Amino acid sequence: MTHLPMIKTVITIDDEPIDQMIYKRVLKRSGIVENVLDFQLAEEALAWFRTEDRVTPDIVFLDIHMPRMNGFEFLDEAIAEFGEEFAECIVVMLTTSLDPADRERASRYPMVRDYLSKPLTVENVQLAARYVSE
Amino acid sequence: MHFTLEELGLVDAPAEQEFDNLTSLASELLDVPVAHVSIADFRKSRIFYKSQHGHPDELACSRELPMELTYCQHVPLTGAPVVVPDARLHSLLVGTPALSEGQPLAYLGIPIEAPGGKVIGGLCMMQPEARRWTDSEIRRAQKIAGCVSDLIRLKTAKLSSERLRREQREFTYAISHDLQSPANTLKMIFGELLFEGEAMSSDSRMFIEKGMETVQRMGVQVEDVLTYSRTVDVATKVDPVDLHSLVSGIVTDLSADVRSAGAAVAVDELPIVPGDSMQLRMLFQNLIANALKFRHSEREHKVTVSAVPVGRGHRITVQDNGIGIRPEDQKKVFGLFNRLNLRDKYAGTGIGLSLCQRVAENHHFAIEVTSDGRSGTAFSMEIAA
Repeated sequence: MTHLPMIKTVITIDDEPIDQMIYKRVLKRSGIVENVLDFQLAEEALAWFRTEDRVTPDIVFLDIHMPRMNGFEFLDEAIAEFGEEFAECIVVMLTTSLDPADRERASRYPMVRDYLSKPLTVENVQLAARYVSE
Repeated sequence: MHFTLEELGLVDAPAEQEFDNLTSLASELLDVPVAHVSIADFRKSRIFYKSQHGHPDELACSRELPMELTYCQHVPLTGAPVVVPDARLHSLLVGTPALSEGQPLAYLGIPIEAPGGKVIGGLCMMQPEARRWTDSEIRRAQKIAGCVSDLIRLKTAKLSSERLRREQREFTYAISHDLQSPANTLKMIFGELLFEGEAMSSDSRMFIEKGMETVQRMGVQVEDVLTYSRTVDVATKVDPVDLHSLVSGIVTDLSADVRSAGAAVAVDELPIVPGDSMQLRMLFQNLIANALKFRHSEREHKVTVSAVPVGRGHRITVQDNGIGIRPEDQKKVFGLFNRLNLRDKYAGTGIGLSLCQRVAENHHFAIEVTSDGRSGTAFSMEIAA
């Protein structure tokens, strides 16, 4: 097995606290993630993106069905507000949505590199690390 | 979706005003004494008259004739307009049992179609004397026949939607029950595990408790889906409903919530309105429970239910001084499973207001939301007297 690169910063956006807790454990168990920032509301994540001298996230794990602002609205909002800079992010959709229309819609965003069904596994994280190193 | 002539109510079914309007219009427009909508029932070798205008008493009563005795059979058989200026000279009729003493000499039969284009009968006009049918008369008759075909299309669409709804309801029931049973099993498994409590790490115990909470939430969600599908599908009864006693009853039922919210609930004098008391109870129960739930932590909570007369009805309003709903979120609140808040702050499945919306639709009124997003929310509806 080739040596996996480290992922410096992962952002998870998901309203479900239990899911968030488990993401943290899986990300930690993978041994290749340094920092995790979690947001239960997409609006809170947007507010974080607006802050100055923040780090550049390597991967964003994004849920679709969330209160107030769903995953797609978040993507639209972030593209409108941060343009180029956000376009360079790697977004991985992480959802329980079984709707093929959601998958199709997600594939139309250039920064969305993958569409995963929950739960998140260590293998998913390892694969995401490869996207970062590419 | 395919339906038989019987299912569509086109044979062996009572007359319907919509069809009768069109036959009587055809009779007036073309100035003929007799017009009808004939349906070809090949299985029973007969023509059934779904609608008839000017038939002799005996036929008007039986509403059907053996197929070989009719001119009408030739409309579905040829799939084209049958234009007969003089029956005695018409190649389709001469020498057939259809042409007998006392039959009309002039006849015009225009095809009517089922969805999919199959000719199932005709809009037919006739008179005792011979007559030359002009092109413009035939065009006019074709327009009316088009309306008859449209009526049949509408009937088919209605039956399709009813069938789909029925299937969907059965599906919802089946899947809900299938989900309930593994959820119950999980609940029991977690329950057993909790007995081992002492022997487990606090981490493991925490997971089991979270598992228990989650599976309980799943149970609530499934229950709510069932309630929703039950409500949207039952026929709405209309009885006089005393809103005042209905709402007072709900407030009493919710007294535990009222106490824990520390809320002051005021119910004005409310009118008696026509409606389905079960459904209206569900609507007000949800609105009032919401008004109690979404309270602001820093002010004394108040909920009022009030009524003002408007036009020939009443505007009923459920108002609170809670957290409010931002204008940009207001259109989302009625969407099925939509929630605006994190579950850890305000629990819920996102079904309540969808349910209210359905009840309102069943009763032909709309629910309006008013809120500045900070100082409270008002849900109001105009209910006809």
